[in-house]
This record gives sequence, C-alpha cells and structure tokens, in this order.
Amino acid sequence: MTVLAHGVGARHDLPLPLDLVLQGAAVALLASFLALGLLWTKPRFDAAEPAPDRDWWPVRLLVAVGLVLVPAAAWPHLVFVLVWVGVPVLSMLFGPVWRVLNPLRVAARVTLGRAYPERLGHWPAALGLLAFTWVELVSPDALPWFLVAHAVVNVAGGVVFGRTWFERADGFEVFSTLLGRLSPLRGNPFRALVATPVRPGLVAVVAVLLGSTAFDSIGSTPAWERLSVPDTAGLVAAVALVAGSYLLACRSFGGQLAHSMVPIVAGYVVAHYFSLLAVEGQRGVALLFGHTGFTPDDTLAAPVLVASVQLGAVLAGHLLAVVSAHDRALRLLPANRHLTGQVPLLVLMVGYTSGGLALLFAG
Amino acid sequence: MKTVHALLLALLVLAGCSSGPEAAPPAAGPLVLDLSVDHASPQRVEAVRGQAVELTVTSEQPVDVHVHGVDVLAKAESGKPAVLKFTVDRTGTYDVEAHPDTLLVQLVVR
Repeated sequence: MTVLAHGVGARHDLPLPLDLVLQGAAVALLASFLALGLLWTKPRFDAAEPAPDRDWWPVRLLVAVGLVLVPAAAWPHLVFVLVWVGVPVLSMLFGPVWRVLNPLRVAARVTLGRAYPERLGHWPAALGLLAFTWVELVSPDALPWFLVAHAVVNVAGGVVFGRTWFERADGFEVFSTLLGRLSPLRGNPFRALVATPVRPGLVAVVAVLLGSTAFDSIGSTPAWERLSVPDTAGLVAAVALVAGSYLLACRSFGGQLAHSMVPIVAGYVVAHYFSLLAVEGQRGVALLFGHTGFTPDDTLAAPVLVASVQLGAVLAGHLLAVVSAHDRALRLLPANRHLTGQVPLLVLMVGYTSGGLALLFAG
Repeated sequence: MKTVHALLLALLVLAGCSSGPEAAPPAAGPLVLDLSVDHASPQRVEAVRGQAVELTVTSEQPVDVHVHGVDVLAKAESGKPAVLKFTVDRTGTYDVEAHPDTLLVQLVVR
C-alpha cells in the first residue's frame, strides 16, 4: 500500500537536510535545559479562558448553503487541504474558527438538551480524528463515506446534547479550539493554554494529532513500503507510541500537562502541511469555483523557504511547549522537586521535537 | 532567554547558508532505472533538476505506471515493459507508482 500524500498531494517536499535536523535537535535540547535553569521559579500564568465568540448561526447557514454548490471534483481539496489544514492554521492566528464555520452546528439549535456524559469527555473527538486521519493517510477514496458518517453522528449528537456535543465530541472543533488557544489576538496564549479543561480523552486527542502526522512522514518512505506492514497498523502504532510515551513521562500528572503539547502539535501541522496549503490550497480555491485546469504558483514551495518554515515552526512550537509546561509544572510539583520533576517531560518534548525533525528528514 | 535567542538566530543564519539557492548544474547523463512491479523493492534515488529520467518497468500483469506530480503515464504488461521518459523541472520528492498503489521508486530531485 502506498500512502497518497495527504489525500490529495502529488509531489512532496524535499527531505530536510540532515545538518539542519541535527542543529535543530541540538538547539531544542540546549534551549530546554537552559529554560529549566533560567525561567521563573514561581508560576506566572493564571488560567484565562478566552471569551467565547458570539453565536453567529447565519454564517453556518451560509456555509451549509455554499456546500450544496461545491463541485464534486473540489471535495477532496476542500476537506484535505482547506478544512483539515487551513482551518487549524486560521485557528492558530484568529482563535477557534471551526465553531463559527461548522455548518453541522446548526443542529444544536433544535436540541433535546440532554446533559452530555462527563465520562465521555473528548473520547468521541479522538475517535473521530483517528477515523479522519485513517481516511486521509490510508484510504482517501473513503472520504465520501467518512463525510456522511461524520454528518450523521454530529447532527445526532447536536440534537441530543446541544452545543456541548460539538465543544467536546466533534474532533474538528476540539482540534480548532485547542489550536485557537495559541492565537495572539485573543489574549496571552499561555493563559489560554493553561485554561484547557482536563477532560477524559484529552491526551488521546493530542496523541492522535501528533501520531498521525508522524505516520504521514513514516508512511511515505520507501523503507516503510519495503516492510509491507499494513498502513492501518502503522497509524495506530504511531498514535499508541505518542500516547504511551506521554503517559510514561507524565504518569503522575495524567492529562494535567496535555495542554503544553498543543504548541508542538501546531508546530508539526505548520511544518508538515505548509507547502501543501500554499500550493494545493490555491488549487482548492480554484476547484471551488469550477476551474479544473488551474496550475498553482509554487514560489512558496521553494526548498529553502520550506526548510526554513519547517525548522522554524517545529522549534517555535517546542519552545512554547517548554515554557507552558514549565509554568504548569511549578504549580503541580512540590517545591523540592521543581527542577528534577520536570526532567522526564523535558526529555519527552526533546524526543518529540528531534523525532519530528528526523521524520522531516526521512519522509 | 537571551542566550536562547542568540542561539536561535545563529541557527537561522546557518540554515540560510547551508541550503542556499543552488544553481542546477548541467545534468550529467540521463538517469536510467529498470524497475519491476512484481518484485517491487522501492528505494530513494537522487536526481538533479532538469536531468532526463528513463524508466523501464516490467510487469507480469497489465498495469498503469505513473509519476505523481509529473504528467506521464504508460502501460506495462507481460513481455511488454512500460517506458517512461521525462525530465523534472521542479525540486521535490516524486513517487513512481504502479496502479493502484505499488510504490516502485521515489525520485528526490534537488
């Protein structure tokens, strides 16, 4: 089985040069342990949940009407590029945009108003995201089936549980809201991050997001093809590896530090998908307007630019994650373990970052 | 944090130097590869931008062979290998596949 790059792509990026990978990993390692020694010793960021947006349901209605007019040929680009990559990038910049755009959220207007079970937490979102990444990376032809199932499940959830369903159980909205906490336009991102409610399944959501991106790199290498392991097994193993290593390093905290992984997720999303969004995003927009023969301008996919963006995004995500985890750990750890208690998490983050860079080299 | 900033800056400068825009050297000869669909053992093969590529693909079953990102397509069948000749003008990583999804080789064009 060959992984079709990101569901739609044709050409992928050049592998990141090895010297950049090694330098990047060294900087991440050095910066992390410097931060441990140099950063503040008393917690500094109080949780501040960004103010919710006004409920603009006419926007959703407009999107819903617009979807009817989307040409059949444009759907893969619309979903795999504009929604799956464009929405997270917009969320990082402007806040949780998917809750504003999601046409299915209209369903919450005619709700039965049942209480959403606390125990479910973000588990449905994690499963939904895993299903979507399976479609994206293993079987893009299954996209129509996924979309129908996604619509049915979310309309049903919205009707039964109302808005809470979308806030906790819709993978796309949970993803967009998590990344939206990084938006500099909505107050201090560190305060927004630490305000992330720790619900069951939060770690699973983060593991699916990181693990699937990692598998995207692994799965497109010839070495993976030669192994002849089913892609589904590879995807699940990558997610399990991320979840397992997090739980091992943070076993005393559980999900209390999961929010600090969000910048790492964001860094990987940008590193991985930058050229796809820049080039295939143009084609996606052209397809929406029915132009099938459009040739995108690929100035933004120049190797030097792509390598710089990849390295910059991964390292920036790493640094934000380290600062965010440091501040939270000061609150969670007893004073005499402030330094030593952070080491496993730092090692984990350096591992994720070096691993991510290595994958950009390999894949 | 100052140290960190300085390090980061140094890194970005290094990044800029080590992967600066390289003028595509005049391609040596064409890149010639013989591939088999039945015994696919995909590798990564380096090529230079503008270099001619000639692929000969044998297969026992009739299959379509194509290069993702390059508009070339050829049919291979028993006793009649597919021959694909093309040049790649853009840098990037390109998958050569037999339909539906057998990876034959990955061209890394720099």
